[in-house]
Amino acid sequence: MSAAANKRRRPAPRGVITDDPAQRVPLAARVRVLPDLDAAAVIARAEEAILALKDDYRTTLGASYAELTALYRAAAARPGENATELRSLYAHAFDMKGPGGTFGYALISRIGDLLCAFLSRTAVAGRRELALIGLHVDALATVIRDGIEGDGGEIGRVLLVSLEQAAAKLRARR
Amino acid sequence: MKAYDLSQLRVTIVEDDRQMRAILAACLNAFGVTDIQVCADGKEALGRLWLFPTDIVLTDWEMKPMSGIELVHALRDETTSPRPDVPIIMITGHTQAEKVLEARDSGVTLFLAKPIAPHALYARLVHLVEQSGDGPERPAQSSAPRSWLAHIAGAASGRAR
Repeated sequence: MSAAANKRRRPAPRGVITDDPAQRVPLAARVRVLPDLDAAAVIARAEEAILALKDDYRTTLGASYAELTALYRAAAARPGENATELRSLYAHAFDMKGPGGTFGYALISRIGDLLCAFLSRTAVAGRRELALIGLHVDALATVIRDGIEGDGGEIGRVLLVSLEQAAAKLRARR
Repeated sequence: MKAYDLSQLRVTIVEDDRQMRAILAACLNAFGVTDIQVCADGKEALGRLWLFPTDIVLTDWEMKPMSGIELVHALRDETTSPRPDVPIIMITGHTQAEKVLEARDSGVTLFLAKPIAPHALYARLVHLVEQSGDGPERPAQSSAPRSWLAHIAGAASGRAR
């Protein structure tokens, strides 16, 4: 008997709705094509639904940035001994960049990407690393304060180029 | 792409971020899915999936106490899973090749990069439906990396414009 066959499946807890694979109907058998609608219309409906959530996102963005700043200050207070603080900063920046692009703030996601990429390679930050992290935090402040949407046009390009150049300069020094 | 009535599907969202949960639920509602279970992390999902037989799991990666990838391992393990063959879409900001391959090798069915774009999510749901005609969806196997990588390329192009 094979090892797989020897594996005993855990019995379902009491009161559980059992899901018998033999009785399961394939997904395709439970959906039907909508002849009077095309996928573009369905997708447009979803885009409208996301738009309706945008105000809530904008409201929470300020608080989210304040938390990022607090985490940065905590890391900056302990140069060379801030591994824990950097992990918290990474986790928060990672969460911040997730919904940004979906709500039309692609620049928040892009700066968040750069910050997370740097933090993922940085176990502990000294003064130079902290200065670079601070540049990313400041760039996010600019985007949020000025409500810069999309890729930010020329301002967005300048912000991203300056962050990439600062990161390259630090890498060359290391 | 065809439009489908997805109102008979049951979907579980596993995501710790409130905004992301709202985005996913809003998209699913717009696609016609109303039977949605929302969980804040992998541990909660693993417990609740016994009570809510689900057709598709949408999961984030970075969550505590149980991450999305730990949830995938648990769901694919026949000794611990309420449904080892459930299709799983991993939705994450981790787009590095090694992370994508780790997701594939863990049994993730499809991958979707954040930021989420509604058309990319819809395309993945439709793909799962259209591929399920002959039976329950199976996780991608390591022996077929090329076809799986085609979905990853789709994830990259599916990023928000």
